[in-house]
Amino acid sequence: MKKFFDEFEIYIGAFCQGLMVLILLAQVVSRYIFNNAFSWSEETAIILFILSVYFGATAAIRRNQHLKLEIVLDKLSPKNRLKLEIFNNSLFALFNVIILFGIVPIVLRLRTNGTETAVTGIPKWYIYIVLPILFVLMIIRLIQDSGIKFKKIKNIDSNADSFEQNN
Amino acid sequence: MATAVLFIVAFTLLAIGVPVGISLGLGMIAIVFGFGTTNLGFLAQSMYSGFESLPLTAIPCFMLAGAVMETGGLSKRLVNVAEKMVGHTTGGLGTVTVIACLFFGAISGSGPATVAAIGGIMIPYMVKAGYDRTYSTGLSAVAGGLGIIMPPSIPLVIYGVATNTSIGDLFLAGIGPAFLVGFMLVLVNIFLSNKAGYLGNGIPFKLKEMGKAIWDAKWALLMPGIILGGIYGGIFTPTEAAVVATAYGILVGIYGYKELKWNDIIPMLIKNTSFVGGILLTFAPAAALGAVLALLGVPRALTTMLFALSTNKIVILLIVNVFLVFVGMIVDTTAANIIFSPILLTALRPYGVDPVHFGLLMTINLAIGFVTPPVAGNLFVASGMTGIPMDKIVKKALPFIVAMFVALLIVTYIPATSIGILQLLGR
Amino acid sequence: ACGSDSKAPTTPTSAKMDLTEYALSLATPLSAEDEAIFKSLEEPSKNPDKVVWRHGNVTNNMTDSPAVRADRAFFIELKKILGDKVELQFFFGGSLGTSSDQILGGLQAKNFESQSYNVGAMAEYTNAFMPLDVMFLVPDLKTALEVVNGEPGDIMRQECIDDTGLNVLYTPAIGMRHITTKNKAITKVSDLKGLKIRVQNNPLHLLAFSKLGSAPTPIAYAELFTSLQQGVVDGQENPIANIYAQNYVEVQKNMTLTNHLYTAGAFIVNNEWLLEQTPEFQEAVKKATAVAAAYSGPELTKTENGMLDYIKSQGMMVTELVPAEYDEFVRISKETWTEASAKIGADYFNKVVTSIEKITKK
Ligand code: NA
Ligand code: NA
Repeated sequence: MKKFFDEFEIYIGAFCQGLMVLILLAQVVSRYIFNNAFSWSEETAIILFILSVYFGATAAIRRNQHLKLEIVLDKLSPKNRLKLEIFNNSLFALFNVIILFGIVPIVLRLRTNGTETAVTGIPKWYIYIVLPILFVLMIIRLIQDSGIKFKKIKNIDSNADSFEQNN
Repeated sequence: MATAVLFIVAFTLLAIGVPVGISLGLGMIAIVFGFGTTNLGFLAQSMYSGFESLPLTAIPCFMLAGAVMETGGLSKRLVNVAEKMVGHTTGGLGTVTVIACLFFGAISGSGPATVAAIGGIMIPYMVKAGYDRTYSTGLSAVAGGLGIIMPPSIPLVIYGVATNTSIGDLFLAGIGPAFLVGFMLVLVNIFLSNKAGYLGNGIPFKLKEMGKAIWDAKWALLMPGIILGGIYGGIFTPTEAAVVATAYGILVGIYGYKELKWNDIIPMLIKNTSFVGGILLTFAPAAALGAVLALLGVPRALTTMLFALSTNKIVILLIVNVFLVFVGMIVDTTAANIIFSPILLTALRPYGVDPVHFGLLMTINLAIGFVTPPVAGNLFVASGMTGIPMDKIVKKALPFIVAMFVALLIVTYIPATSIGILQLLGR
Repeated sequence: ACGSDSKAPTTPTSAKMDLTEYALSLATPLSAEDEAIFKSLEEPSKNPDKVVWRHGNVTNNMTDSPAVRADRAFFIELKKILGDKVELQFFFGGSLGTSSDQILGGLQAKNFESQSYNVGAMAEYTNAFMPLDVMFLVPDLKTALEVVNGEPGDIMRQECIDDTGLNVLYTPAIGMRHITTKNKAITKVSDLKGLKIRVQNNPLHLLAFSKLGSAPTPIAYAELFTSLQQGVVDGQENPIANIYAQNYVEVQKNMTLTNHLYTAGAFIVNNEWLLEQTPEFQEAVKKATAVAAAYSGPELTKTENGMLDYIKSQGMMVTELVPAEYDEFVRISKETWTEASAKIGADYFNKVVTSIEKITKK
């Protein structure tokens, strides 16, 4: 259960991606077998794609799957590496906090103006609102990840202590 | 000044291991607050709009298709065909690696995935046959670049989106350069194998054996035909090809080779979701950076600089290629593609450079970037698989990298090698 | 984000270069004075009170099509009046964004001062210009120009300002849309039966083309040539300028002058930003707007004729509908007006239709 809450977003993301694949497939089949093109499929597929990217990117934090350069990290001692990774997590979180100040006004504007998607007529802010929510969830994941790394640093320290005592 | 601050912040963060997209984002935020060139709303908007494009949906599909094909038993059958074809020649297994990457590249859109799929099989195999381990790893890492030159190709999709060029045309124009690069790699491999004494596998070539291997790999070999035939036969668009490839790969894995089960699909989807999310979070900030650089007047400055250096198309293209090799070292493939494709294309248009042709130059450069450290996707994968440090791999890979650069120059100065096929087809 | 057909993919193979040259030969040449101003439009200004005006466009220049030449006329006039009081910066190739959220949202957030877009792609933000998406509401180019430059145009522009705060200063003419096909010439509605026609991804267009019996298929503009060539779709519909520029004559053999829709560009500024400027500045914008609007229609009409001649010379069969068959097209398409009215808002739709009918029934 804990594992589920640690990465429930990935299941939502995978669902969005799976549905996107099915819709695009249905679009091809429908056009060629039934000679009938959907108008809604492209727009819906794009929305599902964006959602799956963000849900996936949130889950990617704890799975350590964000695209990054490890060249400096690799040269550090395990302890210093963890410290730098925690520092990098805080920069990631800082980006999210700042971007929240940019995205929230956009969501509010879309809501006030009643902007709707062109084909399916979904209010756009229903989709956009997912971004600030996930930017917050990313911050939570970054804190969780940093917490685990703190523990690892402590473990290294206490191992070192016990090593000293044994000698 | 603002441009300098942007790049210094972004590269410092990149170097210490902050995710690529976040580094670019914080670089832009630095100038939002420091210089007011752009505002936070613009950046935030891009975090959504950067993804709002149908062709981009092909990226998770191509990645999923790659995963399905690796698990579904397609890659080892492709290797088998290549081995029965050329395994008996000098440096045979090296040549097999290159040909297998070409085959796999025709169904996969990703470079690192090609390294993982083909290198994963070929490196241990070559080592067992007496090849140097680092040599095998280096060759596999470079040949993996064929995964993005041979259509379908994720970088070509991204280029098409970034510059509004027909992805169908780009795919067609990729076929020639892929064979050319493959040919160059094979040449270098034979030369080096001759020196190192890597002989053939000692099994004489038998047409019947090759026929058997081809028959066994028929579902895998049919796939490029279905994808490319489907696109050019008017069944589906290049974007839709990705989802057809996924569906076909699943069906072949489950019913053709029976190495995949329906139960495997959902875990693969879950794995793919975070994988794609981790890679694609780079996309939106990179797209915004392209626009911010435009606002800063970088494309114009670049154009002026290029014109000042030379007005000769041959010289300019050489400068651009060398510049891109350096960019390829330090900037991630996706980010380099989104940021520099529109800027450079704008600068090169006055010289009469064709957008489709330039798309292929860009892609071969990105394939080179995949194996030039420090930022090198294919090397990451190859090093991860074998445990050999990147710098050692690069040393052995250098002749192949040079071969790829020579192929790049040939494609640069003989545009017909790429876009000739379009003219043949009356495009 | 649909329907932005002005994002032309450009493949300057040698044949296409000639096409561009021919198109340019049809254009009204600039006077020597205007040419000089045009060349120095983007020169930086040292005036401390200058207004920096950043203009974005998805096209690659301000020369190649009649629609972008209207923008050129606008900026030349503006610069003539304002001199170094304005510093112009142009961003081509969609480098400031291509989606409606980037372009319209960006204008609302004042990320840049103006954008050349098209009214069809504004549907996510406002219903103001949606009447122009209703098939056969305007019968031909001449009427369409009177509509957008007259009272109906004023109603739509005001509605847009009220809805979004965005001011569409003028609507560069792109042209009436016509149908092209590969094998079968369209002479009557029933000829469309079962044909796969590429249309813009617009619900009203899709609905009307379904009602007409075809299988409308939305495909990205950048992929359209290849799709036509490979037979993904049998036909498409676009204004003459696009049909010419994309050289569809190579992959389509018939064209029917259906005049079923009018496609217009949109030169958009943030209205609040405009009102913040000095009266002198606003007056200059007004004058430049009038010049561009007056330039656009005649320039397109003139160019379209030349382009149509070229298309015919390349072997395209150009058909005009006989009145009875045209009426049948209109009758069936009008069946979608009820849905259109519901989607656009009945009161507003009726107001625009009434105003348009004052022109069409004259
Ligand atoms: Na490929
Ligand atoms: Na690199």
